[in-house]
Order: sequence, then C-alpha cells, then structure tokens
Amino acid sequence: MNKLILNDGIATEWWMDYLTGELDREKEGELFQYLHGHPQLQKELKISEEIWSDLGEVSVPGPSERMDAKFEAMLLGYVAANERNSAINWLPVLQDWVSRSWRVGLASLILGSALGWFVIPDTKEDRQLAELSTEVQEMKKMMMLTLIEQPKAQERIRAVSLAGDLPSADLRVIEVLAETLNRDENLNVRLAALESLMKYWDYSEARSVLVKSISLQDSPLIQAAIADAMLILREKSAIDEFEKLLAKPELNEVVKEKLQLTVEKLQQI
Amino acid sequence: MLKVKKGDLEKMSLLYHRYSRRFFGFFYNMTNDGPTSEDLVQNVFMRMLKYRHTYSDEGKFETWAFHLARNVHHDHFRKNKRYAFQESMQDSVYETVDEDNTELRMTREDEIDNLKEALLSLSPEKRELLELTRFQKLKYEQVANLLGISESAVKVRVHRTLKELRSIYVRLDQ
Repeated sequence: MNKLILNDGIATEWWMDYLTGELDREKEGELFQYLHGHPQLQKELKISEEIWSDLGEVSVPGPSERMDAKFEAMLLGYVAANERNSAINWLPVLQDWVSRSWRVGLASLILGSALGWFVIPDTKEDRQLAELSTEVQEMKKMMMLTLIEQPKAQERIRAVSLAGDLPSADLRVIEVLAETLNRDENLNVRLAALESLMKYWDYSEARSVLVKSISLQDSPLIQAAIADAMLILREKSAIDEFEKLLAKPELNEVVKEKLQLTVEKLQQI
Repeated sequence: MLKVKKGDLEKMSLLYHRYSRRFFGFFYNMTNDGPTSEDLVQNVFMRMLKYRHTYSDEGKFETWAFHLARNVHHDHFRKNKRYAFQESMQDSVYETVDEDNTELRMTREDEIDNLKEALLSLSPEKRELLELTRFQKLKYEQVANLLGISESAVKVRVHRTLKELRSIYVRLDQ
C-alpha cells in the first residue's frame, strides 16, 4: 500500500482526526514523527488540542420540565388528528384502480391536475393545520385535567403550566386554575396557577377569579403575589377584597404594609 | 424513525427521549436562550412528523435530524436576525450540569467562563461548526454532508475556528 507523503495540510487533517479519536495507530505514529521534524506546526496543533480539550469542560444546561410536557401534548394531538384523518383512507383504493390501466392512470392524472388547478382551493393544508391545532389544544387541555389530579406537586405544576400555554381558555380551564390557586396544598403549585391565570387577563372570568381569591388566601407569599398581580393587571375592583383582608387581625405585618401600598397605588390608577 | 415513517407515530416519543436534550444543547449554544431553545426543540419534532416521508434508511438518522434542526435554527435566526449574546450564560435560570463549586476550581471556572464568552464572539457559522463537531460529536463526514462541503474542508475549518477561538480567549483572559 502506498503511503501518503505528509505535508502540513494533511498533517493538520490527521490531527483533527486524532482529536476526535478517529486516527488509527499507524497514522498516529507517522503524524507524530512528522511533527517532530516540524516544531512550528507541532506547537500550533498542540494549542488547538488544548482549546479542543477545554471545550469539553463547557457545561450545557438542561431544559425545563415544560419542554417534555409540551412535546407529549403535541404528540398526543398529532396522533389523534392523524388517526381521525386516516379513518377513511381512499388512497389504496384509488392506487389499485389506477394501476389497472395506464389509460385510466393517465386520465386520472390529467383530471386530478385539472381539479387541483381549478377546483380545489389552496386551503386544504390550512384547514388540516387548523384542525391539528385544535386537536393539539384539546389534547393539552385533557392532559392538563389529568395531571392536575396527580399527587406529585411537580405534575400539578406541569398541569398549570400547560393551562397557561393554551392559546385560548374556556371556563373549565379557568375553573381548574382557580380551584388550584385557592386549594392546592403546595405553594409552588398555587403560584404557578396564579401565573397561568394572569395570562388570561383579558377574560373577565379569570380576573374575577383572581379578585375573589384574595380573601381566600392565608399564605403571606400568595397574598403578596396576588397583590403584585393586581397591580400589573391594574385591577381596581380588587381594592374591596384587599380591604377585607386588611381587616383580619392575623394578617402578616409585612403583607399588611404591602397590601396598604397596593391599595393606595390602585386608587391612583 | 422507520417505524414512525410507517405510521407508528407514538415511537416518536422514544426518539424524543433520546435526542431532545442534545437538540436543546445545540439550540442553547446557538441562541443562548433557554425558553427559545425549548420551542425550537419542539419545532424539530414537529418537522420530523411532518416530513417523516422524506426520511430514508440509507442515511443516518442523526444526520437527517440535525439537518432539520439546522433548518429550524436558520428559520428562527432569519426571523429574529440577531441574538442578545451580551447576557452571560451564567445568568440563565437554567441550571448547569456542573455544580462543583469548590474553592480550588474557581480559577478554572473563570477560565471556562472566558471560553464561553469567546465562543459567543464567534460568528454563528463558526459556532455551529464547533457545536456539531465538538459538542454534538458528529463525525466530520456527517458535518460535511450537512454543510455540503468536503470532509477535508470541515477539518480545515474546525482547525481555523479553534485558532480563532484561542486568540479571542487569550485576549479575554488578559
């Protein structure tokens, strides 16, 4: 077998193979021998080895749990839409019919092209996409309603996050979020529910749920978070509820100050 | 993927669990943005489902998948034009895998931070090259197929990019 005569260019390429562990032993020996006689190139390549090795220490972050939940919902929706669309599959029947005669095939092709050109508007794909999108949304909703019942707080956080991702909410979703905000035993789940409800600020039901929730909360953390939410949403109707809360003698002192300040700011809006 | 292509769509879940973290790493290093990277991962799997008929078992799944991932990233980049790279990667709410905070490693961590910053100073094309070869550990042949250039050209480009990265890193370290 003829050996390649090494030059700087080939040596560099071999070096890159060496860095990824793809250079065989024989070539490695040849390469190092060559570099021994070419100290300048050797120095340059050693530097690239150092930086290549250092790059191995650059840490890569991980995604949040929401990514998996979103994927699962998307796949469920896609599979459901696909199954529904393929319930009546005319394609094999047509293929069989067309394959019986080339004349029929040709005629079908011409007819199909004409139909495609003149009759069928460019909206079939749009319609399918819209159907798929609705399907995905329904699946997300179903998944949310299932996850919210789970005993693990993490699962319930996934549920309320999914609820916050829906492009539009219905009363059932808002109800579930309200129930979670008011009754979930875990504060993180309740905070996540608050965040999701805020995304539906343009629904009067969601705003009303948030306002009613004020006097139901006993956790200082949630009370303070709702106060912030009301300011962000500029919800003046929350003033009465805050005042009811302020009348409670057991109210945390820090929260009390925060609520007084919130009421003042809301009155100025 | 062949099973997905034949209609067993639920098998996509297995592919997701095998590849989603890698794609996330790819997008994160390209965009420096966690939530965006998560959306882009979702888009890749949507495209896999949508274009499953274009997959052939002749090529490697990994190459095909990264081809889709690159397209998703290019589309996103075109729409957003540029990324806010001025933010340090450390400011991200995403937890990094490396949690070793001992005193002895602090200097080393500073050096690696400088290296991260140097990486962000590279052009997107060069960063992508290192991302595919070094971080995603794709073979040069696969990267050559993805970029439509020869394997030799990939190696030369990686070498030059490493040199450039080194000089930026040295400048930052001074």
